[in-house]
Amino acid sequence: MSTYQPALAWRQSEKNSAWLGRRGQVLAATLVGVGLPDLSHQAPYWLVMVEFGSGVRRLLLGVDGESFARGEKVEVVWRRYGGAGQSVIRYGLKVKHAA
Amino acid sequence: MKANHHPTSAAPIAIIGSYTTAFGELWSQSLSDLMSEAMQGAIDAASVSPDSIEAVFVGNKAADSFESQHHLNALASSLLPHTPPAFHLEAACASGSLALVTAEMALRSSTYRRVLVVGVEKMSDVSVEEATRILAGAAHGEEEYGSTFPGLYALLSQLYQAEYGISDRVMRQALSQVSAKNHASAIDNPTAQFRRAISADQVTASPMVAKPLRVLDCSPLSDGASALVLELADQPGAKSTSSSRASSQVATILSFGHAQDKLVLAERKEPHLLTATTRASQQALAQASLSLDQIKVAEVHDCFTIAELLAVEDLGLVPRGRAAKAIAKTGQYRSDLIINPSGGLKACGHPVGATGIKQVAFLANWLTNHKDTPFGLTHNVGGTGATAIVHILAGPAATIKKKP
Repeated sequence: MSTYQPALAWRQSEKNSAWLGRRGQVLAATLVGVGLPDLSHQAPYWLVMVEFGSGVRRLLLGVDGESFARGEKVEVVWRRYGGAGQSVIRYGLKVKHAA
Repeated sequence: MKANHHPTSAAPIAIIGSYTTAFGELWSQSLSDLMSEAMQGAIDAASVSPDSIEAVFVGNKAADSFESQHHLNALASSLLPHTPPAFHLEAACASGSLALVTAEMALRSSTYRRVLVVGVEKMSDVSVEEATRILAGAAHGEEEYGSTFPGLYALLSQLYQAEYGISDRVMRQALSQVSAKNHASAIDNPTAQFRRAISADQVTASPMVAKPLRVLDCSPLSDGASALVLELADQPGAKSTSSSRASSQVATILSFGHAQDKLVLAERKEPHLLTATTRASQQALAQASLSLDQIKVAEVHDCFTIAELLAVEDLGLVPRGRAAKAIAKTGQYRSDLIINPSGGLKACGHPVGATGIKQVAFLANWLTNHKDTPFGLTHNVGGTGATAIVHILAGPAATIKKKP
């Protein structure tokens, strides 16, 4: 059951905007086979721990169609999380390989 | 330090009765059935009257999500005829130990003289996907969105491997050996979910869940409950001081250590270390006036095989960076150290709220049956190490006296 609500989307947008475009380096990454029900349409998906410098780290999802490994340079982007049929289509932060 | 007349700075707590249900997919038993069986079993084992239980402490992670059952303290109380005061504690997979810690504080403060602690989880009534979602609630809902516990521990495994320069081959051997070792131990545990041996090769060949963790690196979804009846040791009128059951015949809890870390794994200073485990261990040992070299047996939190490697290092039982190499090479960490004789979470099963209680119940019995081993340790973790609780137990071989 999705617990995503419009008020949560609005609150998160405030925080997320500061992360867009930030670049970092992959510390660890794994491909998750059985994911959360909200993300089941995207499974398998990547969980990526990224070091952004100065000890700032964050766990983010990887974009579809890319693979991730330790040491690679990545960039934070805005991508769709949600699938068809959900009452609120969720978007959020992911990482893709930096150009 | 001699085992006999060991001084502690806190009053020892006698485990006068314990009971653990079978762990597994117990379709015929409800949450309430499991609690009732464990509670009655512990009371019977203690040979006390149910109405002598002055309070009940319940450890449970998510009966509200798994079973739509809130108000667990009232449910537990209702299972005793005199409906004593009851408390519900939640700390993810460390819920059982948090309930136990709370009960210990209640006894040591003399709020109650005899209490029952029960840990329970009923997980098999939902799909694997739904269970994955519920368990993921132990991570940060926003900052770690999308994470699953196999995924988080897979990341921990990779961080550990990178920190100590361990090859993929050695790491895989180590993880597979942990699983095979714990399955071998569970064969002799009548309540374990998986009482069968598996080889390291079978673990290595099992399907990938989140690299490098495979299916047989993961503890299962389980139903089960475990309960303890406790009182301060050697108090006037206590069961443990009666002639029929002196404290020299029962195991005691000497101390606990309880520490927290950041809930978000990535925000920790050194994410490859579970520092709360280290601090909890140091607290518990100091409180018990014991040193690590006196611990020869431990039940540690192996929710995934990597978690056992982290645990033995963060507890200080094995030097940092050595656990994987040691067990990969020899199948053990040290020749004089027994880890997870119950089979651990991996092979016993992991009904999350019950696990911390099961560890203590099992170790108490193990120490009672191994008179040459006076002390043991339990280690129970919530989430990826944001909560860590360590207990030090003494078997009947160790006669405990409170420091003056």
